[in-house]
Amino acid sequence: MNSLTPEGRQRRRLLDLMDCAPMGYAVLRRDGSLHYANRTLVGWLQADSLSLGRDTAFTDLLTRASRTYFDTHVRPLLTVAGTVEEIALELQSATGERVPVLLNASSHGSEEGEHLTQLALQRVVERRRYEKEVLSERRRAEDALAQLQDVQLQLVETMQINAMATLSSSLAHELNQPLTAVVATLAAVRHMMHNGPGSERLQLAIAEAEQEALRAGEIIRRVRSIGEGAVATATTITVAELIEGAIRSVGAVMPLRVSPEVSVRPANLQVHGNVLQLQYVLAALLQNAAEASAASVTPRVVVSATEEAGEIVISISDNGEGVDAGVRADLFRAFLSTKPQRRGISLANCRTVVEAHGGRISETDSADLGGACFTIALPERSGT
Amino acid sequence: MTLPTVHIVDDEPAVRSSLAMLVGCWGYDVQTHEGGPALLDSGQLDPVDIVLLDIRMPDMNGLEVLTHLRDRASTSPVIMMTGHPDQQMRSEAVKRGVNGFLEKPFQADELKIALQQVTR
Repeated sequence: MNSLTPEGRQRRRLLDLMDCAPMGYAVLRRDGSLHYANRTLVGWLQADSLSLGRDTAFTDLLTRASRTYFDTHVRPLLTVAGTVEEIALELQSATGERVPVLLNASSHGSEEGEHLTQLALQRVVERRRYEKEVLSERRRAEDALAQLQDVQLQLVETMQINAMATLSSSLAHELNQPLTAVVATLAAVRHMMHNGPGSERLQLAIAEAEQEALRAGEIIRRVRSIGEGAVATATTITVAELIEGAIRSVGAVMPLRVSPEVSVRPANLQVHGNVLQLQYVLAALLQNAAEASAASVTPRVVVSATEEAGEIVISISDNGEGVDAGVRADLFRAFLSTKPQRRGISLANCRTVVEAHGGRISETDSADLGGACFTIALPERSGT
Repeated sequence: MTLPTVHIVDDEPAVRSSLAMLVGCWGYDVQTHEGGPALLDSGQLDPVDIVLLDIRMPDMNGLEVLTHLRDRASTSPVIMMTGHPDQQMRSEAVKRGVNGFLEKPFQADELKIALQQVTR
């Protein structure tokens, strides 16, 4: 050793450093055989340096898939560009263990005129683990998103069903009133002209008109039954969960500028009904309350739920301007809205849902907050 | 025989006036009320008076009016009119002491029979 020149000693020192570098290092000849492999790389391969002789091709150290990739992509790229960076490969150790690595390589001629390729290999076991975790989390997020989309789809379907039920219910109510009046008037006229001149023919005509009006009533009943037939199943849920779900669903559509203050007493208060439909009602009322209070300097929405005389009573109050007295009487009728670009179906829908659960919905001035207070009263064991 | 007074309670003016005309033709005295509060404010009903009551009204629904009447110990027969009967509402009305139902729009004969059945 001491016979080495200072230059030789320096070269030896550099080789020693290279041997124990915290990365794999190899040099290949033009034919791809190993000219040199440092101890780090040999360690990863769980081989001894003697077994990695002149005849060992670098591709023999790779898994089959990596070997194919190296031959078809990496080698041509090295030939053309002279360098490659961050190529993911897998080494295969003597015991069959797979060692994922990132490869940086460059080809160049040596001082001796030999064409060599230097390989720098970085182990990426940790990185792979992180990648797997990220992939796993991504799959979980995708599953959660799919579930959320499923729930949203159900909610949309529920809203459509509610809208249809509300529409048919409102039409039935609005049309049955004039039909009742028509039938009663015709019957009264028929009675009045009893035994009058030419009454027989006129009475026949009036009776036919009555029958037609009654037939129209029957058609309305059938149309209404379409909406009634599409009612979903009922389950039991805590009122706290119901409110939380409604707040979440409103927030998903439009971020609320106000955090509703929620109070449920007793905390384990439960309600029986169709969860999606009831959440739809609460979400609609919450959104209205949030919009109403938005103009206030310190907007407030308070949701409280309690049990009163065998009923679950949920109220949603805000500190907005309240409901105009002239509108109050028609507040829950379909197709009446004080808001532009609204069809006036939302509160009518709410009433349809609440009444289908055997409950009531009403609106008063909020004594505490000064705005509107919508109250839903549901029987303890309501159902659809 | 003097026929009782029929109180027609409905928020729809056309329904009130047409039913009043028809029921009047049959010899009943008729009073019309635009809603539950108007009926309740009209004073104590005679036990033989008949109430023809719409269910779906804005200020006070028919079930609430019925409850108020029975709370006042009124035994007047009450016939409820509705365009959309459902079983839950029917059983609730029966619990509160309703005497009959009519589904809008109804035939004149149905109304006549219903009135005769509750006339004392």
